[in-house]
Amino acid sequence: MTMVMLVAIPVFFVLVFASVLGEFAKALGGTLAGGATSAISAGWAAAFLCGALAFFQVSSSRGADRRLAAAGLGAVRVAIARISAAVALGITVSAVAFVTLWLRSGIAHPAHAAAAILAFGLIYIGIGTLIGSFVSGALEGSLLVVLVFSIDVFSGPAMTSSGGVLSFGPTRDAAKMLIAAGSGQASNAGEWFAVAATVFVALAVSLAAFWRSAKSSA
Amino acid sequence: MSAAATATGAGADGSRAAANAPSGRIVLQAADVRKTFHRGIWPRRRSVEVLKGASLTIYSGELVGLVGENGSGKSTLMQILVGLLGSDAGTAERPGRVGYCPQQPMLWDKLTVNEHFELFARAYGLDDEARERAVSSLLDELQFERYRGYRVEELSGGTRQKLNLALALMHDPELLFLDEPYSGFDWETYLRFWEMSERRRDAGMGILIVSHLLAERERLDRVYTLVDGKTVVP
Amino acid sequence: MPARARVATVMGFREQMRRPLLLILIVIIPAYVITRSIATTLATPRQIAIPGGLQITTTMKELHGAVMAGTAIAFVAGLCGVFVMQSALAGDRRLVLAGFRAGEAVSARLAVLAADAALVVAVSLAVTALYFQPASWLPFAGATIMIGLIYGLLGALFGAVLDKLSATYLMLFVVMTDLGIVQDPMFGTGTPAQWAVALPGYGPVRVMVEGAFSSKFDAGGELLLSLAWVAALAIGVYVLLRRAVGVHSEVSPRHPQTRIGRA
Repeated sequence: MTMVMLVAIPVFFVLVFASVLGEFAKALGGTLAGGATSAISAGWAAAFLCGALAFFQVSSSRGADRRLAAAGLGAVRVAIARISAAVALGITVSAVAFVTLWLRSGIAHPAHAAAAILAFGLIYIGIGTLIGSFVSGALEGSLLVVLVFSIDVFSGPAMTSSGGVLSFGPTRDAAKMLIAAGSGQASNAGEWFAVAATVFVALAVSLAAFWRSAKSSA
Repeated sequence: MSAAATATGAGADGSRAAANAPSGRIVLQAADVRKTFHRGIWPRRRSVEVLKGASLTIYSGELVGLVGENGSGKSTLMQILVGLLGSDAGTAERPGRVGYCPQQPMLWDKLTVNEHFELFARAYGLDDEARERAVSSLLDELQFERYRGYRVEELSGGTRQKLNLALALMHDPELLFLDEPYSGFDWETYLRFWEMSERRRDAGMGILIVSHLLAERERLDRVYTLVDGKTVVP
Repeated sequence: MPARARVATVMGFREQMRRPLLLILIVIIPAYVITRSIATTLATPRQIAIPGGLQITTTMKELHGAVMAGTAIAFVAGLCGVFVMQSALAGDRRLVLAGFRAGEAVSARLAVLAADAALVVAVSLAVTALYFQPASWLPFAGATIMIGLIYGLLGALFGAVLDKLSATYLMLFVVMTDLGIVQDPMFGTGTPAQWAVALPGYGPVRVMVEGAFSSKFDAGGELLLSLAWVAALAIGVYVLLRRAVGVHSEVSPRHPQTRIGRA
């Protein structure tokens, strides 16, 4: 059922949610329109799915990971294994979102769009694992992911009249790249670097969170 | 320790030979219990027939073991006898008032040890006085009095298991089901657990315990082994 | 209330009160989402139809304020429902084995869920009141309560049949589709499509819109529909939970002799 959701939700976001997103952004004074709405909805789908998935992955496997690490694998190798699994799922989710986007509206710069959607997913893997390493309650953790997601969406570029200036969410640079790709514009090297840096930080946080979770408390 | 009285020439229901016949009355009679688990969805749907006709009888005042390999269905059979799982076939008759100590403690992390006792006392119909008597005695026997005000999330695994066991015993049931109840116990607590069980057995309680440790068989009056989904008596 | 049910309910509330992060989030999420929505939405004129056939002109800012409360409540109450069900399946079965009636254990859980929903509703209404004054508070507040109950119970339903992650995803999907798009008067023509009546959010959102923008009340049908959803879901979840925590025996644990039969 989870796999069904991982496919259905990105498809739904791009095909259905995108159609109202432009109106939503306009109501907020944002400039999101046209292909950019489909593009950004693909990113958000990847973000929420990966964030929730990463949270549950950390919080539910804590005991088993500690045991595996103590058995000889070591916390670092367990963490690398975990993050690899999370990234693999993130790639899957992002791929579904990207393919749906491409089929729906075509993309002038597919590589940029694909990279940006993947960045959304990987950044939220970092967020989900960070929450999971500190919060054990499933309900609390899910709500925290929802809260972070809400803050991020509202502070996204082009979503509100002040978006470009005051946007500070973790996916800000990825969103700019994705909106640009959706609008038919390419991103420059500086923008690529900003996205790559954010993703690097997110994955480093994720690795640290998995490591912390796998480390013996003794 | 009463002499282990393994039935000889016994049928599949493990009834004792005349020479070792228990003097107590029957507190549990299970016949031909069957259970199949269905997992997954097509095309990966699998059916696993765990129990293919398990039968057993427990008398008051005896300590009976249920042993078998991992995955043989011991916990499944116990959960059916307790009422947590439904069976596909077969019947069992037992007293309404039983104690059950599951393998995994089924507790509430945010509630304290005392609050657990309060909840279960209500469930068992114990008044405040009876509850306090039972709780004081169990906290003393298992030596975890100082954790009375602690939440379950603050307890070690062994102490959680002590609470798990105590909740099964507090109403002094006629029949006690124990599913590997000593996991996490230190050696002294483990020995104390057996003393407690034998004391209660001697007082007339019927006890069915899932065990997989060979060394424990000498402590048991009778043993049922689950082999290929059926109970046999060695 | 029987003593057992009372004790179980008290313990259920104690459990919740010992989860400060949960209580904080139940307050912060609707407060942030509603405040941010109203603060950032422009006062663009918008014409919508309200129950009774009347067309009114309002602004996107006011609409967003009215509608966002419902979406925030649905999300939070829905997720609370998912996890109430999950924890009931874990620990309450043993309590029922020990002698609680299944209904007593279930009632305690549903009381806690109702309290969670009530808290998020109260916060949402309080925050909304800072920025937006509905034409009629009673239907507006009543609608938010019904949204909390409907989606809390839906969450419990999802939690009963799916694992945690799938139930969380499904909750997001349903809330965004139903309240975020189909019922939302901010989008499209401002009136939900005819088929929207089949979704659980239709009734309460129409009542909410009525209360927000009209001092008369012409949403009797929508109110009845909402109550029907609440009743149907409450019964469904109660029955499902009772089955989930109940014991498989023909006689209750409190009777002298119990017979275990087929599942």
